[in-house]
Amino acid sequence: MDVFTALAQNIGILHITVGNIVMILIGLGLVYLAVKKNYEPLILLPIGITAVLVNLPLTGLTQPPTGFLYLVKHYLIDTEVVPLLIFLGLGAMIDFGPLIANPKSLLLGAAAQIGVFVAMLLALLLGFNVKEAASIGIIGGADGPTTIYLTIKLAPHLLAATAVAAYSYMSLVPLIQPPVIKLLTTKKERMIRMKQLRPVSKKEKILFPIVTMIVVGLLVPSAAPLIGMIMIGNLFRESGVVERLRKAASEELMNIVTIFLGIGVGSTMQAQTFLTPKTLMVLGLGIVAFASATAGGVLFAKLMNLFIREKINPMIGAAGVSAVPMSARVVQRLALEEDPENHILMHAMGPNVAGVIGTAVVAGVFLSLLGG
Amino acid sequence: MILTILTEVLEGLKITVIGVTVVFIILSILAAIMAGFKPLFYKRVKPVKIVPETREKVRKPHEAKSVEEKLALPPGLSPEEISVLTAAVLGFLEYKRKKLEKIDVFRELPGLENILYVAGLAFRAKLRISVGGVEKLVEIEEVPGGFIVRYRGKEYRVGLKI
Repeated sequence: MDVFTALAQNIGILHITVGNIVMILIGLGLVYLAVKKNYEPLILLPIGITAVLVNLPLTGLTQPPTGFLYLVKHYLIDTEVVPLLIFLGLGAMIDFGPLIANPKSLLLGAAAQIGVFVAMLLALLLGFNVKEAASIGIIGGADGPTTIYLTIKLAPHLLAATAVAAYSYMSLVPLIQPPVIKLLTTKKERMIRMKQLRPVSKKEKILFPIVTMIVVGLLVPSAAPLIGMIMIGNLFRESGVVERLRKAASEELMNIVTIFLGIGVGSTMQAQTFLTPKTLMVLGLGIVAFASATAGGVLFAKLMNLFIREKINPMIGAAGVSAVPMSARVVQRLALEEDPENHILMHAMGPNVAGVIGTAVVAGVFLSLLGG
Repeated sequence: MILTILTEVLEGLKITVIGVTVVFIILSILAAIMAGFKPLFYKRVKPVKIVPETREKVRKPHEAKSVEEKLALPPGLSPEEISVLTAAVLGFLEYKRKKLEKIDVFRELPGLENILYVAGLAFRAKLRISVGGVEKLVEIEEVPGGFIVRYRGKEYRVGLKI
């Protein structure tokens, strides 16, 4: 009889809860979106399937001190190793050339960060505390690693919700941004053609990461880990003398840390922590953050047009939400819809990569003001 | 409860003002530095102006004096023979290149094929070429300074200098 009791106690299905079932369905939903709809599959697929795994009862995968997923989360995510390594890889992949050619793009990247603050204020009105609100607001930066980096420090209990919101909405940029852009611009504005960008020399491309790292590091030290990693990766790329390191950072290392990020974040999606009203609010506020960041960039571009001689197409302001390169592609598609010969992709890439820097700086400001 | 929320919102507003200001200041500083890069590192390439006299000089040698001169053929050869010989030589060179590219050393040092003849290795081929949609059979072999092409029982010597 004792044997049967012991056996029954170790059969998972006898311990499954409604919450577990709901989370398994949510996990499978993410897997479906990744596989069928191709929504950020590199990150949503591992998150989704790990969410299924951690909601199977009695697996012990997330149990300290030896559960595998516990170890991944504890040593790689909680210590911020993975988000920072992702930034290194990202730097090795990004071409800052369009930004150097048109430095005004940096202001558009800054303007799009307004969305972060709008979402933060709304989160405060909904009853979140300041640290939680900052973690929710940063979703508007459309930068997954920064969102994870900040949330781990300020509101670790919201990690799963903010990460899922950030990555899901990044893949939904082509659906979220166009209505906002069209609402805020006229057809004439969307048809503005921009002068071709000047070529950028190798010297400039090498100096850019060094200068940016020093300037940001000196002014907002809390943003130095993020900016430092992205700029080191970028220097690998632009120096042209460490091809092996560039390749390792942008391919092998990036792939490895993406796997750990996916399963690390997925491991936090347990029913008891994820199925709360707060999660729903975070997901809702995430959309607000994206939409208001888009609006901030577009409106600032229109404002700039009042003062500059060579008008810019205000749509490129929307690319300031840093979801590289999706938002720049969205802008290019909208421009071609209005004028099939108006190619503004490279102009949109400027604010797009500026947004990455802007979001990292905002995260640094939050950390400075709210503490880690 | 409402008071707590209001306090938090006020703090949020303070953070917003500081945050937006800091982001704009830092990115403006970076923008100013980037703008400074342009005069330091970017030199616009001046477009080359072609003066009318130069243009005249360049154009002259290419201009044919008359239609007859444009169509002038080597003496004793019909347009069909010229086409066949040209196609035969081109086809032969392609045939030779394809044969040699299978051997690593020729792929890495393509110049080597030019000294094969010195080593006593001459290529010879029978080619089926198409001129004006009509297929023709030619025989071609390498000789010093060119090729010998055999077509319809006649033998033509074609020189080639690169």
